[in-house]
Amino acid sequence: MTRRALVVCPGRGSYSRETLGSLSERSAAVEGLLDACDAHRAANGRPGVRALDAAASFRTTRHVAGEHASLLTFACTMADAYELDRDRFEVVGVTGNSMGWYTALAASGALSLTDAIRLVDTMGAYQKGTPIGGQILLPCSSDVRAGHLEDPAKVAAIDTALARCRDAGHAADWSIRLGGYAVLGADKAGIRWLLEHLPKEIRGSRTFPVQLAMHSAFHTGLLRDTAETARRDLADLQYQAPDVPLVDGRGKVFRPFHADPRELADYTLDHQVVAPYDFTTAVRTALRHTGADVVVALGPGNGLGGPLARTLVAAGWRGVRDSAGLAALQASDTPALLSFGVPEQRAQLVAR
Amino acid sequence: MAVNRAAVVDQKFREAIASMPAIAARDRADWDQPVRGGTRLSARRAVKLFEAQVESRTLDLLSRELKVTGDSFYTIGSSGHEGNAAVADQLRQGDLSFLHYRSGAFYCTRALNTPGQTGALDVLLGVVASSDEPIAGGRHKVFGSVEMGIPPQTSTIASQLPKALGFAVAMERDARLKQRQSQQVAVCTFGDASSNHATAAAALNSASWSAYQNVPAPVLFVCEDNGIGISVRTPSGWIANNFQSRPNLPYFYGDGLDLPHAWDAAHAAVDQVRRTRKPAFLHLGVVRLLGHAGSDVEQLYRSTDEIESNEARDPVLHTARLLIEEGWLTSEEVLGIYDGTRRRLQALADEALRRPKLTTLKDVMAPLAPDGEAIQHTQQPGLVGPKEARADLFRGRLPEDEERPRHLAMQLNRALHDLLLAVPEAIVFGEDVAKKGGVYHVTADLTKRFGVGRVFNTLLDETTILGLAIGAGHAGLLPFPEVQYLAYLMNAIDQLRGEAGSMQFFSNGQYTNPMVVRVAGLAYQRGFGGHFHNDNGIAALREIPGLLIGCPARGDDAARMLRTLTAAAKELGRPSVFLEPIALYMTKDLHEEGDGGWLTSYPDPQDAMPVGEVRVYPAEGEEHLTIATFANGLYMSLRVAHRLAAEGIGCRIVDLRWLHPLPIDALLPHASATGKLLVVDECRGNSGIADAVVAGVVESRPGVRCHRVVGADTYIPLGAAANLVLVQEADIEAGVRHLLEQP
Repeated sequence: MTRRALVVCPGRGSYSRETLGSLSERSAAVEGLLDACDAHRAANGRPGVRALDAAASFRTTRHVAGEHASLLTFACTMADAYELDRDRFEVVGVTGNSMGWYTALAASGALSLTDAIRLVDTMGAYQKGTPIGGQILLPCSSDVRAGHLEDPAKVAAIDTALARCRDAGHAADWSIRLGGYAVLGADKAGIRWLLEHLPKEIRGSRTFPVQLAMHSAFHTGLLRDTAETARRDLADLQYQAPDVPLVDGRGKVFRPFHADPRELADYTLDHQVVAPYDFTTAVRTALRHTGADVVVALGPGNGLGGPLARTLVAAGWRGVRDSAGLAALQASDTPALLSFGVPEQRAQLVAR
Repeated sequence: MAVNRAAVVDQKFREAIASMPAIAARDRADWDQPVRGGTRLSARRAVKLFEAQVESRTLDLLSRELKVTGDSFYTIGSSGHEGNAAVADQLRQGDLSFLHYRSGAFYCTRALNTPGQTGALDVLLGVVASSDEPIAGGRHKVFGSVEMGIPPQTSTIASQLPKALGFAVAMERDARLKQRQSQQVAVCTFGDASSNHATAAAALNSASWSAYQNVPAPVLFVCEDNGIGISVRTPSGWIANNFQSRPNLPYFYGDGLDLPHAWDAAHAAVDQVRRTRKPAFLHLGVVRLLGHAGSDVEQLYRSTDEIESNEARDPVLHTARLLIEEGWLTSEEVLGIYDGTRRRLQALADEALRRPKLTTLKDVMAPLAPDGEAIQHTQQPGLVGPKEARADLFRGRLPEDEERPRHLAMQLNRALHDLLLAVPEAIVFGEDVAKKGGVYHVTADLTKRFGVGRVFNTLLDETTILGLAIGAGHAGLLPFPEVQYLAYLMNAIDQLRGEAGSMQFFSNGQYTNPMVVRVAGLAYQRGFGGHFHNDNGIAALREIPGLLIGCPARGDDAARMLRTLTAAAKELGRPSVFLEPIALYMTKDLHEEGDGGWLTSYPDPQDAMPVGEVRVYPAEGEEHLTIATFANGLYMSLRVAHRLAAEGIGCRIVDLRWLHPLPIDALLPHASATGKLLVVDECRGNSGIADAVVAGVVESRPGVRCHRVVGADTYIPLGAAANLVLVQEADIEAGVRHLLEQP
């Protein structure tokens, strides 16, 4: 039976030490994609994605820096999209997180592969050198269950900290609402201020807040100049209505046939860059619009696994009311969430 | 067996589209061109609206299929009315829509235009009565959404028109008070049959009245005319005939079966309302398909020919044909959208069926929560203006510092001054409240001190007054509507009962209708005024779930109680009725002339009366029985008790003060203390509180001996004859003696 799949594209931070080499041993269907990526990189004097992925060792400057990691991540994500078994998974909607929006544009057909590569690599190239400000990550949920995701007390504490940080003269704001986690963006002094003043929370082996390495303060006003440059450099991208519903970081559903290309262009290089990205709302809206019965998280890695699981539970999707309910569903024949980044799940997703 | 018309309409659509000849598709680059010559509707928008129309149609079909399996609880559909998508497409964030029940395509269009919103699943969750439904939480299938600016409505009989007008007027007034320009509009939709309703007539008349004197009221009345009300035909041409030449209410006509025509008309109408800030009327011609509701067998009153001729006018089919004939979509693409929507919404229906229902009474009633913690919060309103401003307001002499005690009307007037100062969003309105200061001078000087923007006269129509109160709440104001006499509240009671009172319930607390309705009422005006100025029936108010009703008897209580109700409105969004006993407004003396026994000091402005708090008047010596009463009954009971005390009979008197919810728990210890309870209820026996008080006490304290003294179940005559029907002091005294004779 064909399942109704919502496809989710991860952001730039998802390429990691663990995903090194993930472009090797791909099916023939992916070759054209990688050729196009590498051709674009070569034409701009940058190392190809195959070469980056095939490196003997993981290096921050090669694999995390925006000018390389962006297209590398895109290539991995799109490769997964190409390898998804369309006989068993009907893609009924596409969304993404942060840079994953650009990938989602390509995966949904709203941008051609060539234009999407240009978009991703250009935005990545702007990151060369010193990032603009930074991003930090911290949890903003506690008791996640149907109807409850963000903890109002934690959100209030974050809002208060941001206000005080701004009062202290720094630029700081929400960057991403990430399925029960908050990504905040600030200038460099603001990041230091927030790291010092936000309450510490230990989850597993990590102590939050943590700063995301080599990330600019995307989705905040600090990126206004970048957005303006991008609108100039990328004015000729040819957007079109997507082939399947495409959901942005406000929860706006761009539908086939009548989605307005100008609105797609405006969103992609304006709001998406300079205003908070609400991944939680994007996923919840996509589920509620499409009636998908499975969420397929494309790679690289499985960084979105947690945020997606929490969002599914909070959305009460498929009758799940709490994390135990989701776990039971995951153990069934029809899991609600499948990730390319989890080897045994990947096996269920790719064409046999 | 009756033919399944839903299946017929569905099948006809597929067959008609499949049989259309192939036409070369137009270039997508042209999609911002008009969908056909002579319209401003672009092809892109037309396709978007077609998709909303298909969603709406599919929801109707699914709700009927789910009925067969016992999973759907609502089958009144929107089929034939899908042209209202054209109206929805004109609206912006901040506009409010008050919709009737055939608004599926309107709702889906608003959702399509609002990020984060998913109209189809919302509707399906409502159809299956799931507690996950986002606006009513499973309490009703409604079209409603905070994000889309749609306060929910249930079975409208044009009852939402007054508040749509009220919102428009209040929102404009608020903007002017804040010295800013407003761009928002209100839209309300209703059927041709409902347009004949008294409530519609009131609202439309009031809209013209506003426009006539240039009071801004940017509201669009949309009459979706399908020519029939359940089985009763609307005379052909009646809507146009009735509305196309009304003074001060411009008329627009849109053919709701022809999307471009409807869109152009809606665009012109909304644009004019937005620009001119004046009301307008949009007559949208539509057709009703699939009968009134799933349970309605249309064949009983319509011929098959007539039904089929209506089906041939299917607006969704019409839009599809237009898009194909003009070359924007192929028939395969149209069927792709139609079938794809069906598959998607079927998946959403499956999802809706997995969702929980309301399973406990507590959950059902949670939005009303009459006795919850929240209401206790109102004990501390803190609604006091700045010290200097108060000093200025009261001309240097703060009322609480004045030694001379005052009567009820004066203390109320002072309390209103204080509240208008402390709550900048508070407004006072009603007939005669402005310059005249009200019939009994309770609102005297308020216009002078706070301006005509905040204290103003309305036209003489209680439905409009209460509609304005509801609309003012939606606009962020805190309304104090005044209804001049209790009897006149009754012609507008549905605005409280069906609308204001139910809003929290049907929106799961997301929309509120904060207001304090001040009503002069009850009897004992020494024979003056007859029934309609002495009405003593409150049953119609007491049966409204969640409505707070307070009834003070003296000035200090009145001030404290009004502060509480104001806080309940401001902080909790609660509607309340503040029943002011006319006969006690100016009463000064209690036992004998000149004793000043009914005058009080102005209570400290911080002092508010907790909801459910009673006032106890103990006897001086031994207490033989307890009297529970309120208002004029309290006044008379105190006089009787004073006289009986001389005989050695001791009465403990409890002023209940709160008529809904009744403070039974607070009364119980006082009833138990003497073991005998006389309930003195000045209302008519069948419309007061005595039955409920006795029942409440006896259920908890079966040993308490109870007796009632109540008014006669009759209208109130003029002159001394009034005393024959109203509770008199002699009746109370007889009641006391009767009870004392009981074991």
